Amino acid sequence: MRWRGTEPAVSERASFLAGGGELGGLMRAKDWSASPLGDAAAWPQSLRTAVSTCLASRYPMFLWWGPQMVNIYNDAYIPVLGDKHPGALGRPAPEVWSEIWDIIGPLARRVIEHGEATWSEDQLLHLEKRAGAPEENFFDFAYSPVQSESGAVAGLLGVVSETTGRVLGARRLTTLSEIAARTRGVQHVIDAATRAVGALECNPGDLPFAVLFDEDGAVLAHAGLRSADVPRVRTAVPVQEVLRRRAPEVVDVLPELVLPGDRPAPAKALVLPAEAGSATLALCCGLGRHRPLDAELHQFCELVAAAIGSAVADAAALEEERERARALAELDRAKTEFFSNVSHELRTPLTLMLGPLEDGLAGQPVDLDMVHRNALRLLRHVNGLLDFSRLQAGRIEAQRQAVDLHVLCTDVAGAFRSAVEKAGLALEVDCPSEPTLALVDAEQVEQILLNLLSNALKFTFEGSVAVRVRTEGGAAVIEVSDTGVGIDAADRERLFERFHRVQGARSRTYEGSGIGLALVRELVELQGGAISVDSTEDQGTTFTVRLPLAPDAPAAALEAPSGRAQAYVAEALRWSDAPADGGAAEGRGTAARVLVADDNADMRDYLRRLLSPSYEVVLAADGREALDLLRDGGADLVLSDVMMPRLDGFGLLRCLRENPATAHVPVVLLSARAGEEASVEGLDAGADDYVVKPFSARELLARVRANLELGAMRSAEATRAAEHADGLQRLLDQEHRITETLQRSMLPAVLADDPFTTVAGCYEPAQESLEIGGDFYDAIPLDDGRLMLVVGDVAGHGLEAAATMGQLRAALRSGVLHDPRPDALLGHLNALALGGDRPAMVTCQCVLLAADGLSADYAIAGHPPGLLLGPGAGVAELDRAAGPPLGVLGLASYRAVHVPLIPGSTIVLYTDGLIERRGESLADGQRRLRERAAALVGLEPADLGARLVRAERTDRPFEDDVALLVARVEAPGPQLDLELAADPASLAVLRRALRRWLPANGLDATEAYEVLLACHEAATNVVEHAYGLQGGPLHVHLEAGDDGVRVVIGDRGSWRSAREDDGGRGGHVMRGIMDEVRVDRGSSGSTVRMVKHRMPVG
Amino acid sequence: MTPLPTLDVEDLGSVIVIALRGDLDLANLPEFDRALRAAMPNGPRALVLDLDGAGFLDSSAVQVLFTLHRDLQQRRQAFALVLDAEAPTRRALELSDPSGVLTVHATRDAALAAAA
Repeated sequence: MRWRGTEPAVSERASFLAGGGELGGLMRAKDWSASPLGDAAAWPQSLRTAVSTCLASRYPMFLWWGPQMVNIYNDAYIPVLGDKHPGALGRPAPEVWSEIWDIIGPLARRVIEHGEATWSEDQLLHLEKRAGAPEENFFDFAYSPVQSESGAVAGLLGVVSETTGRVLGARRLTTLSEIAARTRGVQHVIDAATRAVGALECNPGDLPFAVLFDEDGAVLAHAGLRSADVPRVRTAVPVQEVLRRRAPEVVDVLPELVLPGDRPAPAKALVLPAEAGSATLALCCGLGRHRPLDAELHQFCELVAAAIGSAVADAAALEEERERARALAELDRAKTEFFSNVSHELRTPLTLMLGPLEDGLAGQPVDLDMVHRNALRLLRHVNGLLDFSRLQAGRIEAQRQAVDLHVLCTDVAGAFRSAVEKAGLALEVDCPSEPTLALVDAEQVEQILLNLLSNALKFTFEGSVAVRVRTEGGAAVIEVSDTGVGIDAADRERLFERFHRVQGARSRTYEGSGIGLALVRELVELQGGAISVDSTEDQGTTFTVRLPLAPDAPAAALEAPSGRAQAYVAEALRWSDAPADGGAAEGRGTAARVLVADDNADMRDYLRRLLSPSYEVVLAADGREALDLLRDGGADLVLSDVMMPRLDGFGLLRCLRENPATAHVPVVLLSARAGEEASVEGLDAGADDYVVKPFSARELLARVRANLELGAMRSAEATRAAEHADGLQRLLDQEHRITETLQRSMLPAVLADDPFTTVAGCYEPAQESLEIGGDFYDAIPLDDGRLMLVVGDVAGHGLEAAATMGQLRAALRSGVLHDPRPDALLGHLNALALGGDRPAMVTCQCVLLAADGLSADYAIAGHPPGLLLGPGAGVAELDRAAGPPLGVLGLASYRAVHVPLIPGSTIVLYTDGLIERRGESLADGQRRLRERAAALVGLEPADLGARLVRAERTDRPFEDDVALLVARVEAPGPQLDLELAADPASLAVLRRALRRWLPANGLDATEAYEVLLACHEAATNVVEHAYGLQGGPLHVHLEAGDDGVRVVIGDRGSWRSAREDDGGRGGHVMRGIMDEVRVDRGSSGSTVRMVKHRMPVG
Repeated sequence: MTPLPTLDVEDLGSVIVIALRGDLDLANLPEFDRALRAAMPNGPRALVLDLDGAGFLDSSAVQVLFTLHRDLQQRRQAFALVLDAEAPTRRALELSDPSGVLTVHATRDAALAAAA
C-alpha cells in the first residue's frame, strides 16, 4: 500500500513523521506493521515523541526501541552507516552493528536495564561501512534512556559524532613531534635514523612498519618489522625507482609479513623520497589495513619523510661539526707540542750564549767557539721558523733556473761528510757522470737536502747514508736513504704534516721542532716537485724527491754551500760527541758528586765547566746512560735535561725514585718548558727542583747547592728513619711534597683581570719544617667593577689545613657574589668555619676596592693589619675595627671601615709568617715591616712584594708559610687598550673596564651606559661570529678627546656570511647609540669603528 | 666569567613574578633562559619578569626574551617586563624592539594590575 496516497491518514495517525528529511520520507513509506514495532498508527506517544525528536535534529541521532532495539535514525546519521543505509532502518541494532556489538552492546544494555545514561569519548570502532572492509573510526557518543508511558525504559536515544579526523590529526602531529624530540641534538647519522624511524612505533595505526633506505638503497633503519622480514620488504618495493625519480610510489602487493604483537600485516605500502640535506633517502611506509590511503594520509607520509630526512641531515651536520672540532683540537694539540719543542730548541742555545757572556762580563775567559756555534744554531732555528711561516703565507717565491743536481748534491753531501764519518757511518754519493739539469731554486734545493741529510744522520746508528741522483720518467730524482731506525706506517702517513713529530723514536738527539719535513715538502712543492717516503722499521728510510727537468739550457754557476750548510753541519757534528770524558769523573776527593744528563754536547760542556770548580762532575748523554753511571758510582745530585732521546728526564726521575738506593738523591730538572703546568708535572713526578732555560750561572749554582744540602739532610734523616720506624720519614717527606703541591695548586694562578688595578700575589712555603699549608690570598673581580682582595691563614699545618683553605677559598668566591660587603663576607665565612665538617680557626683580612678605585672598605678577623702606601711617602695600617678570628665565636660580629684612596695608592696584605720571629713581639715585627714598606713606595706591586719577602727572609728563614698580596689602584688614562680572548667570559672583563674608564673620562651615567652597550654589542658579535671553535683575539681600543669618545673593536677572524643578519641586530643598537659607526669586514678580520660626540657643555 | 644573575621567584598563584639581579650576557644567557623556563609551570596565567635589578642587558638578552615571549604566547600565557621608565637598561630594549612586541611596565604593581 502507498501511504503517500492517503494524506489525511498521515496527518492524523503519523504526524510525528512529518518533515524529517530523507529519513522522514523513508519512515513514512515503510510498512511498519511487519516490524516488531507494529503499525505506526498504533505507536505509543513516548515512541512518537522520541522519533520526532530524532528526525528533527541536525545532529547525528538514532533511536533503538523495544526489546529488539529496532533502529531508527535521522539524515545526519547516514554517513556513519555508510553502505548499511537505508537497509538499517527498522532493523534490530545488534544486526546492524554486528561487527562492533561486542563493544556497544553492553553499553546499550546498561542504559535499557538500569536507566543509566552513558558517554564515550574518542571511542575506536572498526566499522564495516563497506562490506568486508573494516575501517578505523573514532566517535564521541552518548546514550540516554527513553521511558514509556508506564515509566519503564522502552528504548534509548543515541547522539553520536565522528571524531576520526580530529583523533588522526592529533595522532599524526604527535608522531611528527616525537620524531623531532627523539632526534634533537643527536650527533650520529645512524643513531638519528634509528631514533627517527623508531619514533613511528608510537603510531602503528597509520604506519604499522617503516623502513628507511640510504642513497644507495641500503637499509639504514626500520621499525615495526621482524629483522628477518626487512630484506623481503626491500626486494618487494621499488626503492631505486623512487630514489631516481624522486617521486612517491604506491606498492599494492607486499610479501606475507608477520608483525610483532600479532598486529594485522599491511596490504599496501607507500615509498617516498626523503630529502636529507644534499642526499636523498627513501622511506617505505607500511599502511594500516584499517585506513584508506586518502590525501591526508599521503600528506602525512610526506611530512614523516621530510621530518626523518631533516633529522638525518641535522645529525650529519652535527657529526661534521664534531669532526671539524676534533680536527681543530688535534691541530691545537700538535701546535702546543710544537711550541713546547720550539721553546726548548730556542732556549738551549740561548742559555749557551748567555752563560758564557755572563762569565765574560764577570771578567772570566769566554768560550767564543761555543757562543758562535750556538748563535748559528739559534739563527738556523729562527730562519727555519721564518721560512716556514713565509711559505705558509705564500710569501716565498722560487728563483728557478737550470741547476746541475749532480754538482749541488755532491757539494752538499761533501759538506756533510765529516759529520757522517764522525758518527761512524759511511756516506755514499751516486751521481751519473753527465749533468742532471733541473729547473729549481738552488738555495731551496740545498735546504731540502740539508734537512733530509741531517734527518738521516739523526736516526741512523750504523751503516750508511746515501745520496743518489738520476733521471726517471721525465723528472730529476734525488734519493736520500739511510740504514736507520725507520718509520712505522702510522707515522709515515703524517710525516709531512706541520707540527707532527715521530714520538719515541730512537735518535741521536731529541732536537727537532716538528717543522723540518713539513718545510721540506713545502719547498719541494714550490719547485713544482713531489716528495715521497719509503721506510721499513729497523731497516732504513728513503726519501725520494722528484723535480722538474730543465729544458736544454746552460747550468747556472753554483756557489759553494751557503752559510746555512755550515750551521747544519756544525750542529750535526756535535751530536756524535761522546760525553767529553766518557763519564769519567773529575776527581775531587770529598767534593759532592753531581751527575749531569743532557743530550746537547755544548750544554754538557757548559755545565761541566760551571760545576767542576766545586763538585765532582759526571756526564751522560741521556737518561739511560745516566742510570748506568749511577749504578757504577752513585751521585749526590742529578741535574738532568727533560727532553732527551732513549730515556727522558721524567723517565730517569721515575727510575731513580723507584730504586731505594737512589730514591733520596735530589734531582733537579732543566727545561725550557716554562710555565706552571710543567713545574707541577716535575713536582708530581718527584723532582726536587726545576730550572727553566735560559738560566744564569749564579742561579743554577745556587739551586744545586741548596738541593745538595737538602739531599744531605734527607739522607741523614733516611738513615735515622731506617733505625727507628722504617719509612716514616719518607712518608712525611711525601706528605710535605703533596701538601706544598696542593697548596700551590689551590692558589690562583692568575689574579684579577683588571686594567686599573695591578695585583700581585705570592706564596712562600715554610723553609725549615713540615709546617706548610693554610695560607691563602685571592683577588675576586665583581661584575660591577669592584674588586675584593683577601688574605687569610688557616691555623694548623699540613694536608688538613691546605684542604680547609681550599674549601674556604671556594666559599669566599661564592660569598662575594652573594654579598660583597667585607663585614658580611667575614660573617658568612665565620658561620662556615664554625659549622663546617672540619672546624678551623682562621684569620683573615678582606678589602673591597670601589669600582671607581677612589675608596675601599675593609674588615679584619684576628689578622695582622694590612698596609696602605700612599703614592707619596706615607704608610698607614688598615688596623681599625679588628674582629675575632673566624671559627671561634658563634656571635662574632665584624665591622667595615671606609678609607679613601687616590690613584697610585697601594695596599699590602700579608700573613703573620712574614714578620714572625722568635723572641720578638708582633708589634715590633709590624713596625719593621712598615719601615721596610715605606722605603719601597713607588715600585711595581710584583717587585714590591718580592722585595719585602726577600728583605724579611734575609734575617732568618721563614718558619711558617707566607702569603702576600699587593694591589695598586691606577688612574684610568684617556686611552684604554684591552687584548681579550673572543670568549663569552671576556664580556664581563670588558664591562668592568668600561664601567670604570667611561665615567673617569667625563661621561655621565646615561652616556657611559650607552657607550658600554654599543661596545658590548660589537664585542658580542666578535665572540659569536668571528671565529669558529678555535677562538682568537678580540681587541678593544677607546680614546677620549675633547670632541668625544672613539672606539675601535677588532678581530682577526673570518665572518661566516650566513650569520650576518644575526650580527645586524647588534649593529642596529650600535647605530642607535653612536654618532658614527663604520664596519670593515675583510678576510683577515674585521674592525668596528664608532664615535660618540661629546655633548657641548651647558 | 659572568656569574648567573640572582633570580628571585615569587609564586602568586595565577602569576609568577621573577626578579633578576645582575648582568646578562652571552656567558650566562643559556642558563638564565633555562632557569626562567624551569620556574614557569603550565598553570599560571602570566609571567612578570622584574628587570629593575638588572645591571646590564644587550640585544642578545632581548633576543632571549623575544623567544620566551613567543613560547609563552603559544601556551596562552602572558609575559610582561618591569623596568623603570628612566632605567638605562631600557636602551637595548628600545633599540631592539622598536615596535614594542614585549610589554614593559614601569612598576611591578602596574604589571600585576595588567596581568590580573
